[in-house]
Formats: sequence, C-alpha cells, structure tokens
Amino acid sequence: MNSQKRRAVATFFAAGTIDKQQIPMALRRLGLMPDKRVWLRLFDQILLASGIVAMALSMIFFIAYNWSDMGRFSKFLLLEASIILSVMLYCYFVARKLVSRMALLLASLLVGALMAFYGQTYQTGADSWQLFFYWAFAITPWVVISRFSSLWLLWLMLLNLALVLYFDTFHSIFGLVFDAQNTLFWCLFGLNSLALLIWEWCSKKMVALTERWPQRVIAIISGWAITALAIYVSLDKPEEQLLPLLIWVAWLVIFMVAYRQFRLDIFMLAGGCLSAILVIMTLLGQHIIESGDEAALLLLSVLIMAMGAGAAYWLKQVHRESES
Amino acid sequence: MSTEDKVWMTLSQSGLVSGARPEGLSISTPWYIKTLLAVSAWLAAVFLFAFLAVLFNGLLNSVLAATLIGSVFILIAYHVLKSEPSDFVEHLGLAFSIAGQILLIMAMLQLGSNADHIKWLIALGLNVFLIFLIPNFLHRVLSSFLACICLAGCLAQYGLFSMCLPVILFICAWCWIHEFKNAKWYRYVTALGYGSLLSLLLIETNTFFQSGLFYWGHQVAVNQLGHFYYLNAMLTGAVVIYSSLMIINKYQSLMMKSSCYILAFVLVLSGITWSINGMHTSMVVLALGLATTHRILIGLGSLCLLFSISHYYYSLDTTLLVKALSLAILGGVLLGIRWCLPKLFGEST
Repeated sequence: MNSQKRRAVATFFAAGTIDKQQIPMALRRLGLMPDKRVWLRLFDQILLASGIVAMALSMIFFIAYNWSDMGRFSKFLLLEASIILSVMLYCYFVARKLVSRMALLLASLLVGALMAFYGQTYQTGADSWQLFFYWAFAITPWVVISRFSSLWLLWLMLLNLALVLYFDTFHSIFGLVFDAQNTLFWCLFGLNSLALLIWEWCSKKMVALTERWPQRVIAIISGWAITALAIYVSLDKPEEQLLPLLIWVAWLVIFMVAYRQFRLDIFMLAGGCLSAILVIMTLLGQHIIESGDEAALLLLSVLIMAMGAGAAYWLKQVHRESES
Repeated sequence: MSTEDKVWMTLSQSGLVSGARPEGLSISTPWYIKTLLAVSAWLAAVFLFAFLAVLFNGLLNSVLAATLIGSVFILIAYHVLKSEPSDFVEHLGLAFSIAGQILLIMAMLQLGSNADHIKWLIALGLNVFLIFLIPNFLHRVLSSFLACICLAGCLAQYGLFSMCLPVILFICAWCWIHEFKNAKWYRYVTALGYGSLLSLLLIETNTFFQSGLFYWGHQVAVNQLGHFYYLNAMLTGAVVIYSSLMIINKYQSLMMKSSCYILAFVLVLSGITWSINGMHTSMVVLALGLATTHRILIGLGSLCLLFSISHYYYSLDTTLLVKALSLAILGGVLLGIRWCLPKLFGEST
C-alpha cells in the first residue's frame, strides 16, 4: 500500500501539482515519512532481531569450536539450558508477540546446534541431510505455535536444504529414480508448490501469515525449479520433454488463474509471464535456429519483444483494474 | 476509489493541493513489471545483436562501421522513445539502444589496448549523454547504472579505485535524500538513484570476492584496494555521517539532545564496523529506505547487511572461539541499546 501511495505522490510531484515545500507535510500525512514512534518501533524490531540472531550464532560458533577445556556434558548442559531458557522467555513474554516469537526463533536455532553437537560427540555416522531433516522435524511444534512467517520460512529452508543434501549423497529416491538433477528439481518443485498452496490456504485463516513476501519467496523457488526443468529437458533431452512441459503448462495455468482470479498478486503474475517467455523462447529458439537462417535471430528478437510487451500491457491493465 | 484518488483526497483535505485531481497523469508501474520489461529488452537486444553480427560479420570488424551502425541504432531508439510509446515500441527502443551501445563499445575496444582510461572515459561520457538524451525512465536507470560502472572503471585506471565506492555511495545517498527537491529533475534524480544503487551492489559484490568485472585481470585495482583500505573506510564513513545528518535535518521537531544521541550512535556504529566490507553501504541504504519508507531500498539494504556480516565472519582470520565471543558481545550490545532506547527517546524529542 505504501509503495502505491509513494508512486502516486511521485507522479503528482513530477507533474508539478504539489509544491516542493508541501512535500514533507504530504509525506507525513500519508504515513510515508516515519515519525518518532515509528522510528522507535523500527529500531526496536531491528535491534531485537539482530541481537537474538547474534546470540544464537555465537552459541553455534562456540559449539563448533569444540573447546577442549570444557567437557562434553558441560556443553550439553549449556545448550540445553539455553534452549529451556529461550522457551521460558517465550512463555513469559507470550503477550508481547515480537519478543516471544524471537525467543522461539532462538530456541529453534539452538536445537540445530544441539543436534550437530550430538552427532559430533557420539559420531552417529548420520549424513548431513539427516541433521537438517530432523532439525526441521524437531522444531515443527514450535513453528506451528509461533505463527511467525520467518520461522516458517526457516523450517521450509531446512527441508529444502535436506532435500538438496540428500540428492547430493544418494543421487536417487530409494535407488529407483536415477537422474539426480531432474529428480531434485521435481522434488524442490513439489515441496515448495505444496508449501505455497498450504500457506495461501492458511493465510486466509491466520492473520499472522498474511504478509506477502514469504509467499513470493516460496513461489520464486517453486517457479524457478519447474522453469529450469522445462528448459533443461527441452535443451538436453528433447525425447523426454513431453511430461515436464505438460506439468509446466498445468502449473502455469493454475498459478496464473489463482493469482488473477482468487488472490490478485501482480508480482506472481509477472513471475509467471517471465517463466512463460523463457520456456517459449527456448522451444522456439531451438526449432528456429536449427533452420540455420540468420533471419531467425531477428525473428526471435521480435518475438521476445512482442511477448514482453504483451505481458507488460496485460499486467498494466490488471494493475489499473486493481487500483480502481 | 483508486489509491491515487485516495491520496489526492487526503492531500486535498489537508490543504496541500487544490481542485480536482488532474486527468491524464500516467501513474508509474510497479518495479516488477519494469523488471520484466527490462529483462525482455535485454534478451531481445542480444538476439538483435547476434543477427547483426551474423549478417554484417565483416563490417562489424571495422571500427568505423560499428560506430556508425551503433550510432544509428541509438538515434532510432531516441526517436522511438521520445514520445510516450506503447509497450511494444518501448521494447523496440530499448532493444535498439542496448544493441547500439554494444556495437559502440565493441568499436571502442578495437581502438587499441594502450589507452584503457580513454575507453572508460568515452563509455562514461556516452552513458551520461544517454541519460539526458533518451527520455525513458527504464533507459535512464540502465544508463545511470552503466555510467556508475564506467566511473568506477575510470577511477581504477587513474589509481583511485578506493574512491569509487564512497563516490557512488554519495551519489546514491544524495539522490534519495534530494528525491523531492525539484519537480523538473525528479525523474532524472530517481533514475540515477536506482542506477547508482544497483552499481553499488555490483561493486560491493566484486569487492567481497576481489575478482570479477572491475578488475578485468587488472591486478593494479586489487593492489589499490589493499593500499588505500583506510582511505576507503574513512570516506564511506564520511558518507554515512553525511546521510545521517541529512536525515536528522528532515526532522525539524527533533531536539538537539536527541539529534546528538543519534549522531553519537551512528559515529560509534560506523567506527566499530569500519573494517567490515559492505557494512557502511548497507547502513546508508537501509537508513535511506527507512527514512523514505522505500521498500526496495529496505530490502536491498537488509540483504547487503546480512551478506556483509556473514562474509565478514566467514572470512575472519581467527578462531571460532573468538568469533563466538565477539558475536556474544555484539548481541549483548544490541540488546542493551534496545533496552536504552525508550529511556533516551521516551518522552521528549
């Protein structure tokens, strides 16, 4: 909303309808120039978040150092006491949302340190993907009760990381599927699309999850995975391109309809258009360039311009529609 | 009622504007639509250039032919973009201009290898000229970005690479602080603000990894950065203080005591973090974003801040124990400052 207000003020100012002397007052009236209260709240959030993250990282580095003067039981005690303290802080400050959520974030980060230290001490022989997977699994109840977007995103990133590390180790799913690169892209696409779907569904019911940026981050990962897959298969294995392309088309149609009809989000629509341009250009480029005619390059250039311009025209129409 | 109508009504009720909302003003589009346009234009330009390269293979090896064709392309772009064109024509203009610039740069590179500083200067001059010549916002952002890169290249050639970050940071800070100073120059100033911001992030990334675009295998630039490390830190620190003073200056209701506290805090923070690459840049961009409620600046500033701190700790030549200790102290100080904030600024400003 602030971005839209900002653009409107900028347009009026550039057209000379607001005097420059009046600009500070106009910005204040529209909430575009933070007052003392807003500044204090911003600094309060930044200092709290960075202070907590610094503390958590400090603990992780300390454990990673593996200080020999300190016994392993003392280290376990230190980590577990820190986790218990963080959870107690959450319970104590439960009415103050930001502080309680940051306390849970701290506890969740420390669980990772505890699991890594456990693996290091007892030499469990576990693969690194297991650490991230069990870490995500262990903090799930806290993630659910926190109703905190950043913690949900951390949880999802841990699962993504576990997936990437799993394929780095095994190159297949239970030894059945062998093309590691493609399977990884499929899994990343599946996981993040599912997460996006659940998030969008839950955000209608939970006020705490209505911010748009986490959905956009997840959509970027999911869209990147399926677009890369469609392009990779088209270029490298044209004989196997039918299924990825069909799924890409289905994803694109559902994605565009969902963000046009049910939950208008022009950022998502722009991302969908970019994916369409890239995949269509790859497919066309492959066939046109094979003809060996230099005019094909000019044709491709005009086609990109036409598709880009068409997409921008449509997005601007949707934007205008959403504004009115 | 659209956002523009609501904004106009709020301003009208406050007596800041009068009469009905002027008709026919085109409200600028969101950044992601502009980004989509820019990416498509870049791709189109690459294919256009490849077409020319195949068609006029022999001609492009000639400096004169490349210069002539490049100039003609830029003139076509100027004519296409000078009025408010449709989306397709805007794309066409952008693609022609980018292809023209590639041709001109290729011609310049063929001039000879002994006068690199002259090439950078010509490229800088060309991009500054294009900022004024081509009346299109996206094009101005692109030209501003390239002009800042060329400025960094020139400074490196003259042995002043350590000056490029502070100079471009100053340009960026100046643009966003003076965004609403002059209606006539508004679009130039914001385009330069975005262009300088993007170039700043690129230069910072290159500085982090001590490789890439700027050095072009040029060891002199890397050495310069090492020799004038303190000068670089001092100058970026000066830009941090300048930006803080200008932001404080916007709040005329702020009491002297509060202003002194803020400035003292900035000085201490700037002093403590002087050796962390990218920290001063992040601080300035983040502060400008917060002061102007500009989400792109806030997002880019936060990302740069996270990257700077992560890179610093990753590359710190010390034991993990020392890193852990320093982070614990940092965390304690940050939480301590948070505790002090309401006491310092609680009641009277």
